[in-house]
Amino acid sequence: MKPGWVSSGPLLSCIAAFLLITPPMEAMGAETKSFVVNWFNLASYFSDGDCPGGLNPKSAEFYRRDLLRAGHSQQEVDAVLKDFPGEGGAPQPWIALVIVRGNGKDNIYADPTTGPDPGLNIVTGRFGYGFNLDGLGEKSPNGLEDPVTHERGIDNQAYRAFSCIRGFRGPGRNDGPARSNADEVHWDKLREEMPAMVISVTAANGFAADGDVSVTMGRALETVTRDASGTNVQTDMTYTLDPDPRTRNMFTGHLHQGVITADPGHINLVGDNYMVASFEFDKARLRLGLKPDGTLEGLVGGYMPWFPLYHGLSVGGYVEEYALSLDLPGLYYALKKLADSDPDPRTGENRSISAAYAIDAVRAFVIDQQHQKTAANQPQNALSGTGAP
Amino acid sequence: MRSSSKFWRGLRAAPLALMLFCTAGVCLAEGSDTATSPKGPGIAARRLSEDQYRQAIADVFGPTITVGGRFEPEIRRNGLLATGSGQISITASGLEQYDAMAHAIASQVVSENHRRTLLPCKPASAKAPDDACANQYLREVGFLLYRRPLTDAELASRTKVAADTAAKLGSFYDGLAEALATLLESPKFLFLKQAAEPDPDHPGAFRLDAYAKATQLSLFLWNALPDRTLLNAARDGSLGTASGLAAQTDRLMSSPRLERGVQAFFSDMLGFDEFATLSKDPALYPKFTLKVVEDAREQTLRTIVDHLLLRRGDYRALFTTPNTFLTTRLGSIYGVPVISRNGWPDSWTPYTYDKDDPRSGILSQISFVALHSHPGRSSPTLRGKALREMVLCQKVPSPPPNVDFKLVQDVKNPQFKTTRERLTAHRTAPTCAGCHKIMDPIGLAMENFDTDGSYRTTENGAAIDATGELDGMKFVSPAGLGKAVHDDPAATACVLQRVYEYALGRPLGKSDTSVIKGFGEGFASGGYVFPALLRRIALSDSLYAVPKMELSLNAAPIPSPTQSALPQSETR
Repeated sequence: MKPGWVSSGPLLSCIAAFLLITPPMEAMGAETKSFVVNWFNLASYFSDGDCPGGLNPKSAEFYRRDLLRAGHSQQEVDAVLKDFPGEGGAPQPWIALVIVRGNGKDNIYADPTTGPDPGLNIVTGRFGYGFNLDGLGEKSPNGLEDPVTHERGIDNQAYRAFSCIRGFRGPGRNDGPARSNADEVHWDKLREEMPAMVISVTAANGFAADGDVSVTMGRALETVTRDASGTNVQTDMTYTLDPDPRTRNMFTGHLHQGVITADPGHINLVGDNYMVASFEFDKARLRLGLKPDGTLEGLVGGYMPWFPLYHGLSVGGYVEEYALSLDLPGLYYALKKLADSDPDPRTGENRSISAAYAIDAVRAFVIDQQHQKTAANQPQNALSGTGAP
Repeated sequence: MRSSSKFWRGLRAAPLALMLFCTAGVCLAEGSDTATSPKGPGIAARRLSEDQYRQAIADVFGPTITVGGRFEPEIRRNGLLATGSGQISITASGLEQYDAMAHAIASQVVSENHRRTLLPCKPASAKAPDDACANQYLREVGFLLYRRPLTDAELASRTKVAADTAAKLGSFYDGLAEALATLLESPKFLFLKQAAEPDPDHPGAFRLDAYAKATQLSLFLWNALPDRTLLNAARDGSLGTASGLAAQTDRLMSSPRLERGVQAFFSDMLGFDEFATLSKDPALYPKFTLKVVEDAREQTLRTIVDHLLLRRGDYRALFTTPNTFLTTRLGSIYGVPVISRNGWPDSWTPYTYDKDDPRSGILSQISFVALHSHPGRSSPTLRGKALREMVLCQKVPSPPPNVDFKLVQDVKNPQFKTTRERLTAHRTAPTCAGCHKIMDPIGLAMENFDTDGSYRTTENGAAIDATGELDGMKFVSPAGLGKAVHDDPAATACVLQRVYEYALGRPLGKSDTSVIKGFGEGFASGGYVFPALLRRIALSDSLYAVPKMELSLNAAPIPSPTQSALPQSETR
């Protein structure tokens, strides 16, 4: 079976009882391609001037500010931050103080409200990636402009909250969403430890023609494997879709000139506790382009609960703070302020924030063992003819 | 404590039998007991391979003892490392490595973690010598390491090392470790210098003595030193009888360890030691990771064991079998989905190629097509050469020194887009054509396999022509090549020759001609069932006979343990 398109090739005795991802839509000429997510990061756009208030302070600066505000003397603060951050592995004098820098006794990462809002600078630039989630277009109060398509009214408040934090900036890019240093480091580490994210797309009329598609996004039982470059995920690996229905998203969309768009309503992508435990997008949107090299690149977005964005970082506490110049209580307040959907009926405060994530995926085989019973009733040649990549 | 290391430094390897071993200020003459009771001449000494050394340590001391250090390279002779092992000694730096390994192993054995389970006795005091306990342990472990009972002199000298060192360091266990290290760094452990005895059935001829016979048999079938049961059979004489030899052979062949032995043979025959340096350009072949390299080797060995041992299949069908095993990583290169067990990427899954699949047999596996290619491109020439030499036992001359490879290496040449086209142009040079015509027509049939083993139908946009020829047999695909090898009598003759040379540890001589002919007839009439061939060789007198040539080359006698110090547990 040659990599790439799967036709009725060799039969796998080893998976005779299983189906490769089976499209909900069965039609003559239907084709399926499957992918595993290589990179997944907040869709960012970096340019000069998008943070007119300047980048947020470095960790040594905001620690000094907070400790002084908390009542520590200048002399004491100077002493504990003298060798900041200090040698790894050795207990550092500043750590115990910054953990309780809100009220002097409680862990500020567990309860950031023990300290005041430092008022992080946020992105106020013109451009950003994402989707027009509120449908207001140019009239959207917080709308951004897609720097490539120039679509107006893009909603991506999460990008605004993060992207003036030094660790959440990165090299700019002109042809698509950029990846921050923090996202790159976090994802690069976590993707090898968390179950892989997989995507399978079935085009009713084949991928050479426009038409309807069905999409499955979900979690695999396997983790990804790096290729020899050390940077990317290996292509054409096999992944087994997690049978837990809570990890699966199946919806329909449309293929037009190689770009898949969908408006599935809700998507839940399982992440990792040290990143975002679960990417739950409401009013979810999807736009994925099939690239000539066989990869898939695009965006998934929607309104997602904002607290998990904070919590995934707060579990790292001061380590994340000094490594990324990330003022965690500041982030908490920024996300809370910028949340733009799902108001709490009791308080009126929004509980969700608009966000968009960039997806870069490579070819893979994705197998759905849930269809085992169905497979057993089908002629064997049906088993090898569908699937990926 | 480590004065022995200093001693080794700068010491040359020969003459090993007379080397002095100094430890903790205690020296003993390793060869001092050579005149104890020479019974017969020694025959060609073979150095333990790295695998055999590691296996010996695991067998004698258990798998929790780690073996660190660097092993000296082995030499391939007549297509096998096993036959090259009789041609190599140990360099000065190699001796240092063996010395360091010996001490590291001995230290682990007597460590608090292991002494309770590995030592048969407890000293009266942990801070003083205890000859009785040291003697008991050294006697038992020496029996396994030397593959024969230690002579009284050998045992006494080691016991003295243990006592003197213990007294000097104030530790029984340190003393015992030092004595154990002398056994582990002894040529009598590191080299298989086997004793011979007159053959009563053939007056004037010699054969291996019983202990050497046990070692020969065990190395052949398990690629490991003989276990206690086999050594006991040598000691009680039963291995010298036909029924006793058959019983031991059948015991060894029914053991799962036979799989390791067969894997060791085919690893040697197929040149799998080259996997240690196999890599591809990661920019061009990003799927070819180090784990793929490991898996590729394992895939072929699993295929061989499954086909030859478990299915007892026809040897020739190794080149056509649709059955193999895959990991998800290999599936990535082969372009097929492979379900891992519980998401575990290292799990192996049985896999059967479709009958129309271009792959079949071990020649289509990564272990062959990638191993015999360049880092950035395939090589029909290397593949053809490897097939001729490794699978058919045919000699291919080395290329002349002044070959111009520029055109062959120019993979972006707009005029010659495919390797076939470039090789065809290259072959116009008369000095090249002679050899290339015996290699390229074979290798070109594998051109559908890129250098990383992935399948391709085009190269630089041009369709690949995978037609080929093997000594008049023409084919149009890689599968056709497998069929041609299957039908080539040279393939079965080759494996027969190799496996017998592997068993003997030396290349075949004229005296082996009739013997190998008999094995060949049996192999053919039995349907080329490999285990049957192994058994036939294992039961033959010829495996244990000592050729006259070896006797003349190695006339120095070695000790025979008639005055032996048998382990107490063996004398009951």
